[in-house]
Amino acid sequence: MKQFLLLAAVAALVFATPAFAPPAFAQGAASGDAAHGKQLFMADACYTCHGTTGAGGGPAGPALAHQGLPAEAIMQQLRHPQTRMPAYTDKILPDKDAADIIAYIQSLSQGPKQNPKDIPLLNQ
Amino acid sequence: MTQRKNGTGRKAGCEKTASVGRRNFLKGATLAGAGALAVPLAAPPQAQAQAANAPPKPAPSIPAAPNREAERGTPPDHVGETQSSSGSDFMVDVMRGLGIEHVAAFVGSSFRGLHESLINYGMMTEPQLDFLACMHEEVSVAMCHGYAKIEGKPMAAMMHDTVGLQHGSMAIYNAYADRVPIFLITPAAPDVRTRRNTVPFFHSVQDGAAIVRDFVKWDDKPASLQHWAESATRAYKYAMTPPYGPVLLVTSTDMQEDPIDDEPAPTKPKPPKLAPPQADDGALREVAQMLVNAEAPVLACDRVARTPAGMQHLIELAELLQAAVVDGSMRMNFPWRHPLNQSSRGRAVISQADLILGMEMTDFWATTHSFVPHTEYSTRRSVKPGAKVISLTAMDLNFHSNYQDFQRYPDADLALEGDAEASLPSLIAACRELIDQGKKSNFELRGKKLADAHQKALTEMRALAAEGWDSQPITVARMVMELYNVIKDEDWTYASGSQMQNQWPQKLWHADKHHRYIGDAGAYGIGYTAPATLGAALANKKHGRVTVSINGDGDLMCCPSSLWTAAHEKIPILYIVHNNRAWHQEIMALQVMANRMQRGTDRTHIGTTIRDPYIDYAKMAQSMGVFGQGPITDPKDLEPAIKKAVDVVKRGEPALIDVVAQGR
Repeated sequence: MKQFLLLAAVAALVFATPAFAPPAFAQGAASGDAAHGKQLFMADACYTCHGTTGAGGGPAGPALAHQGLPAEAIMQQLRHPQTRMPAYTDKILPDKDAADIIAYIQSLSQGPKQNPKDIPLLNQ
Repeated sequence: MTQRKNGTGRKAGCEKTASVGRRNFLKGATLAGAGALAVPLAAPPQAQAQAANAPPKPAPSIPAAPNREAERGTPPDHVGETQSSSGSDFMVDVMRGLGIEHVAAFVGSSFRGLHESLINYGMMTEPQLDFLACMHEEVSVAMCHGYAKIEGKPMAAMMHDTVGLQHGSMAIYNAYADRVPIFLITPAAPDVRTRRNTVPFFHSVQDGAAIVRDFVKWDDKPASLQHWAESATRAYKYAMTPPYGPVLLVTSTDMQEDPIDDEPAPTKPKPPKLAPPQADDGALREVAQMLVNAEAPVLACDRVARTPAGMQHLIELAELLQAAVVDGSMRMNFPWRHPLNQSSRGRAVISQADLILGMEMTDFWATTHSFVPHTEYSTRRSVKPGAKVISLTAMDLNFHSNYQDFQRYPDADLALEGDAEASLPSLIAACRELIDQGKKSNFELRGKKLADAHQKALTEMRALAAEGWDSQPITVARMVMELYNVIKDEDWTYASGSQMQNQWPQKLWHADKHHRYIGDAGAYGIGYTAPATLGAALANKKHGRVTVSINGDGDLMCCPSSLWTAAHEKIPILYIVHNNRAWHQEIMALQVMANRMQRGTDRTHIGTTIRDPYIDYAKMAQSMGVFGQGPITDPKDLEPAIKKAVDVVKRGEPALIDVVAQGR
């Protein structure tokens, strides 16, 4: 269990590491169906580590919302994760479904980001 | 010893008709049994007339106890025997002489002697030794675990012989791994002649302590009351000498129940004043030299602060050196919002350090190493080449071989054996002697940089906490901060661990008193939280503190009867059920395997989720007499629910709120 936690902690760093998201991919956008992607996000258990709104779960899974993650980087992480995150091969997650999930993840960055300074409970 | 003012019980050694030793009595047990059966025939005429006029009694569906025994062919119990003293009264006196105030137990006939002494003697005379009713030995032991971490001394748990000890064993292991003192008692009936019927044979064992010997600090099976008194005092001494740990006395049922006829009469040794082991002074001076000369020293700690003094010592050392502190949060070692607290960025700080002093570390190796991403077992040293690693711990003074809680070998350059809290004053004094004005100026610059880094990390954590603030299921950060907002002006204890809550309290709350936090289970044995935090609340009761516990739903269902004990014993505590409707960590572990096998995660909810049906924790709490609210699904409903529950707790009662929340 402890070993898993340590590896999960490493996982938390990956999306935040600039080396993982090269600038050339930074504007990469997905063309999938975000609504279907949301269904898959829940059904395929992405939510268990990343939260149902992509808010993240600490060492278990980093935040995905409002991170500006490029499509190519998300696909790379799904297929060949650089962490303890399980790999989603095309056998269990076809390209079309992966694209839909990526579209949903990217949609999580489109709404306004909650400013912590506007939340009194976070300023005490 | 004084009589309890409002008590109605007897005084020690008060009126009894005869003093007949149990063993002597047994010699005539058959005759006595026959005499007991003859009693109705010898009833006076008046009684016979009353019996004749009384309405007929319904036939009992279950035979009265003596008949049951007769049907089984075993002798009746000792009806009519009286005595004026008992070994268990003496044991009660020994325990309270050691400062033990509570004994938790799930009732068991093998300790009926001690049970009777506790309720009629220990609870009725001063200083009181209370009996706390539990429904499972895991609850009894875990209550002791949490209690000791607040109160700084052991309470006792009694466990029925064999099966009770088996129930309690996981909780004992948790306490052992968490280095917590607990005074444990399990009975034994070594003489076949005194086992009352069939059942005690199933529960009798040659070596009662064997099943837990690997994870208690010491055990004994005293052969006399004098032996019991000496071993109890020795057990207390071992339990309370760092590294702390649970101790066990296997206690003869006969010795509990029999009158005291020892010659000379047993006496109690006086409780010792204990001095913890301090590391060698010369080695501490060497460490001081290295710390003062280091450019980026890190003070890493897991269980440094056994007492409030330990926290103050660590603050003094950190501020003297203006050194980074990385707190593993096994105890309340260092204020969470102190500018030198770098725990939120611990990996980065460790990787930049040129000296790491690890104090009372659970897994020091993991502090200085990391796993290579996407590999199972490849690791790398995560400290700079040439960085020095020093360990200071008393944990090495009590390791057993079988259980592997010693972790990977930390490969330290210098290893000091000694209790960190006891050693810190000498280390501080040695450092102080070596610090000149030039070093002070450098240290101040270092401290300013660390303070800036602390503030930056806090800002980043707040931004993360804000994400999904109004979402449903409720984010864990929102749940945690709504709780803090209500209790922050109280004298509170956050008694549960926080690993499953992403350590949001450590990242966002102010905490600067030793009793604010007590760490986690020790051995990661699930089922710790509800009973252990209840034990902490028991200790906090006399201090008037508000105890709160964020309890995972899966963990709660291991020991749900903790709620009944909370209500029955009137222990004020607020349970927030972090209801993610799963054994959440296990879902993630199973997903790894499912995808490795390329079978997908569609079925990984099987055996890992708590659904179909969902559990209504508020109703469960209410059924056991605990004020229950929920399930709360809208974050806007949290504040009023928590306020209402805290009011209940401040009235001296337990409360529970079921919060449907994100996984982490």
